[in-house]
Amino acid sequence: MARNMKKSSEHIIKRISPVHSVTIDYFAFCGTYPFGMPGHFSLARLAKELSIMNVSMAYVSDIGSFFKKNVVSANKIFLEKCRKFNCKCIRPVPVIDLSMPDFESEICHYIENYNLKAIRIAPNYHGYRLKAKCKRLADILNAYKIMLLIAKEIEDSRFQASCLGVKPLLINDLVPLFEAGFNSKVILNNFQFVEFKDYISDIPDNFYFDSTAFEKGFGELETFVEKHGVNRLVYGSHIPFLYAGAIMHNLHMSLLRVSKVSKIFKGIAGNA
Amino acid sequence: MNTTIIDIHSHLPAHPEQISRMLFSARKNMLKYVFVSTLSLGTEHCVEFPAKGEVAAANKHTFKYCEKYPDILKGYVYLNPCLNWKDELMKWVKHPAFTGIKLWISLKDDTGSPDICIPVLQAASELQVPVLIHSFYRSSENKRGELDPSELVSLARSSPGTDIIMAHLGGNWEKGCQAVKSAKNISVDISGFPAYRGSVEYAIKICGSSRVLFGADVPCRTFQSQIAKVYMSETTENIRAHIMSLNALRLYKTVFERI
Repeated sequence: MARNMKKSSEHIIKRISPVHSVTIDYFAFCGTYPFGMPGHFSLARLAKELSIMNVSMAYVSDIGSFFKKNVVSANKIFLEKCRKFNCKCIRPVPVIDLSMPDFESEICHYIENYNLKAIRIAPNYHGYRLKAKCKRLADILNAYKIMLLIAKEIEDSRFQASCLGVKPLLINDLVPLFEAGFNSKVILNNFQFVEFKDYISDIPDNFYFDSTAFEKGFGELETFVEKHGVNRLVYGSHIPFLYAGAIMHNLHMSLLRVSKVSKIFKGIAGNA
Repeated sequence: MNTTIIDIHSHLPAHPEQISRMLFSARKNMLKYVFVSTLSLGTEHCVEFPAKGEVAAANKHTFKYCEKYPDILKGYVYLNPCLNWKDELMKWVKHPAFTGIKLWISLKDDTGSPDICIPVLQAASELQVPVLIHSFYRSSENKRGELDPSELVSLARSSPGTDIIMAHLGGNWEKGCQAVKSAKNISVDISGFPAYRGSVEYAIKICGSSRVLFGADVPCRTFQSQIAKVYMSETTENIRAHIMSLNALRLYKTVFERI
């Protein structure tokens, strides 16, 4: 009888959660995905899952800010919700639409009112080319020492709703970033390093890959660490699109040593 | 998490060093058996419509390593139904590691008809082995010889005695599971896409837990990321055990009788 009881995966996730003091997640979401699973995912549910996984801090964006016509409004509602929810492990990250003429003032507003530490961009979802925005973006990020997170895609674009037509962010679009004089840290969400091999031989010191996409090829994680060291890699869970703990499990059961996996979980500070 | 794991869908890399690492990882992740095919040798991208010689070399590679690692590797014969596939199939059916037939994306003739696959399915039925078939619902157009799950259902109906496994839950898994739910001779494998929340529960709900199988699609994915899908899904230990191995033991019964 007990064998057939529906069991939550919580006990499994707890077993694989890191035991060290700090785990930072650079790729997490809450809100509502309008085109199917995971559907609605509340801040409370996110906070619960982060707690189960022993995550100390997650850089979280609102799913709606990828899809809503009024991104500014979506960001403001999300930031207010986070403020009221007041969970220390959730660090809200607005998704800035750089096609807006005054995106700098939007960023300044968040810095002044919400103690903003990072922004995320998704040029392919908001319909602009990054190349034309690089200089202005670098200026404001350097001035305020804001971290930049760049999302390639939030669902495998091969299987998204056909009406969406969003293509993955092209590496070609990112190349100007490497030359734009960024001093701030840049996290590449859901990119595979293999995509970059024709464009850069070395990863600039302030650029980091998150671990999300490293499950896409056998041995990619290990090869990346062999070539570039573990310092260029941080943890990204892709919650709630992926099962809680899936990327964690991918790291734990990889061929990397435990000490290296620990470094990945500790994030940029742990890698410094 | 003490379940036996049988991966019914992976591929052999071309390089021996990669194969060693793959097997090391399989053992670390507690896999009992890994069923493999080879889709291409010596090229970075697999050929969509491989020539006879390419298919032969790929199968030779598969069974060479099955012989080298008989405790863990079992092999599919990869076929291109557009070619004279019978000789290639018959070459390997007596091999002790032979588990079934693998079809990929050379499954339509010049007119776009997938009927060329029907004789292959019938041959599998006679041999009492399953056919693992790649199938995708893509957001954009499918590849020229690639079946979508609705086309797979038509084929399955034309050969009701054949056990077919639709790989990758059909790509777009919500649509893919719905498409095959009434085709009882189609099982599904969960391989080859990120560990999307809800995918395993949805496959169980729509297709029934007895029709869901574990596959990893290594080297396109990692063993552990695909195992995580089943471990992290909200289901019972009993169903997890069925997905991880018990359904495979039933579906590949004739194969396991030989092991």
